Amino acid sequence: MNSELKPLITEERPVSPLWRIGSRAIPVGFAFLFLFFASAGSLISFAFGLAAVGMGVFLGARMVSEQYASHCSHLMDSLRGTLSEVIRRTGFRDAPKAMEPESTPTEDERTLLQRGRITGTFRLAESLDWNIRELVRLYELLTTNIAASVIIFEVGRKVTFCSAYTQVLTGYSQSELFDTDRDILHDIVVDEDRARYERAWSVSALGDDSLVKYQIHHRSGIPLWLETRFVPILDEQAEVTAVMSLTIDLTELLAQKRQVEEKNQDLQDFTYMVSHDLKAPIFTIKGIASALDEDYGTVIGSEGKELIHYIVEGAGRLERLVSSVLLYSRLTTSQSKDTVVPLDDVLQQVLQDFSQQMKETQAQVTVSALPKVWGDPLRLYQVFSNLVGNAIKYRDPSRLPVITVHPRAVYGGFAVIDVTDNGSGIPEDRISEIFRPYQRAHGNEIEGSGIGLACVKKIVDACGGSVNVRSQQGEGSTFSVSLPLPLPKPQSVPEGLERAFE
Amino acid sequence: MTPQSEASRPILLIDDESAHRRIFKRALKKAGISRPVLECSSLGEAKALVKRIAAGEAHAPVVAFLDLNLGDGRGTALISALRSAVPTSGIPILILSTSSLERDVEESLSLGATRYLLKLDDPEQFCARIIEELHTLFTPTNKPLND
Repeated sequence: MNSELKPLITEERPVSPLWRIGSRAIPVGFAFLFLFFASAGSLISFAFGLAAVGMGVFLGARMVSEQYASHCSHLMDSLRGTLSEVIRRTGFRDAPKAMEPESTPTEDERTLLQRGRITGTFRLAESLDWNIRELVRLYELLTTNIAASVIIFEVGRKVTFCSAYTQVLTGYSQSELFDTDRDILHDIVVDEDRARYERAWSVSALGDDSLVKYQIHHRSGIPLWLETRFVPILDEQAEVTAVMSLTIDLTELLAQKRQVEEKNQDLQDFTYMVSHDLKAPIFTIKGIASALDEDYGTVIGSEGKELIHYIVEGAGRLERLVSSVLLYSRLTTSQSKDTVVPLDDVLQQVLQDFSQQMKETQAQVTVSALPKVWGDPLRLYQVFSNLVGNAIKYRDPSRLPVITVHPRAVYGGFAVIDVTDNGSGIPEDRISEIFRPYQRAHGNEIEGSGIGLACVKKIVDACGGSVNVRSQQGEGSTFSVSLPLPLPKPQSVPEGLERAFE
Repeated sequence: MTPQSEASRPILLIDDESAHRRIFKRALKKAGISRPVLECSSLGEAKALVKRIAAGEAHAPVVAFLDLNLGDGRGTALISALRSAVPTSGIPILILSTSSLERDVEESLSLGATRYLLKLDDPEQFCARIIEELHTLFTPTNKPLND
């Protein structure tokens, strides 16, 4: 952005060819004339003299034309350089004809060469002219139509350039902005945001890019949310000579974002409320069914007791479903409590809680030494309890389940933990969906809420990690979870910048 | 109050679900707790009762069980009402709720609830828990007041 800004045309202006001929050829001719007059003083010699003048003019002109040709080729080189600079900077693809390589002239065809050079120079100049006009046209097109305000300030804050859209964003006309030495934006930024706006400005005045979101009062009184990127403009000594601000209107975007957030919140509240309110009737069903079983078991007999058993079982399934939905919605509504978590401890707890199931299924679970990571211990428990639980649940009935939990790699501040099983695997067409809530790879033949892997993903994503799966149907699956390693406190970011990038 | 009347003081139960009250009373009966149970099925009803208790028009309960989600409002309002009425200012107040939200727990305890009991997935287990709480409260060596 701060490449050295060389002037586009560096060569001096070419001197008029007539003046060249006048200044060189004519004196040479007259020198010959004078010589002959002085020696002979006759008419004949005058005729010779005239011829000599002609010759002198001819020789002089030849000399000049050579010089002129060399000047032309100089100029051409310079124009060619300028042109390629224009093309490079503007991105015009339309290579002008003059840029085509010229045919190599034969040594004797001086006139042709000269003419060619002159023509070439003109064509080059025309092309340059066209490119520059095109550039100006494009520039005007951009600055008048871009939905962003572009302002260039001197370091002293005086406005030296101001694009048309600034008036739309602020309500102040370009001339009003030009007339003052003050930054009008600074004046209309709301009080709470002014310090941040100023900080971003100062950062750029010191030579760095900065980005700031803030609110202003448009001249009409309407509050607007703007985002400004300040870009320092440096000279060849890397000194800041000016600051350019590029400002866009975020009001609509933020309003939409807020709407989405509100809807999301409504949905969360609704999910929570529904799943929560379902718990009370489940409590009733289970409580009354077991009271019936206990108090009236003798009356209703063994068949009646069996029917009650179905009620209790159904209520139990409903209960687990509701609990899992609650769990998922709470991942969003509640704050995670991050700390240093030894994954060894987490896995130990998981294995302990699955010991009964492991015994029943004769599952062999091997856990390697695991690193410490950064996260919420309860949530990390959920992650691994889901993965290990799934590995047992979706085992291949034709073989004993073998499950390993293994740290595959540690890099870039993350630990990658693989949970591998030899289970039934996931059908290829379902793999992309298994992390979405209520998407189940195995349909309803195995009980599940369809929320476990969605929880895993939500938790892992929230702590900046990721989860993915490789699976071969009939052979097994490997779930790879990358989790952030505990780090020393992050280096402090200058206040304001972190908010600017939030 | 005299020790005799102390033993006959009722248990206050505020829950809008009649089935839950039924499960609760059954558990008391099974555990052999024969104290009378004062039942309220709404916030309004409970507020009126607390007023009468405060005025000495009704028996002061020895312990209060309170559901948070009442049909006509949140049970938390009753915690303060019970705490500010002289006859009930020192009794144990046990919250019975299906809500595991931290803010519900914190709010209840900060308003003066003695304990927060989750209505667990398993009603049998939940009843056992309540009985255990009651036994702890009524064991002669333990003073039931001021937890």
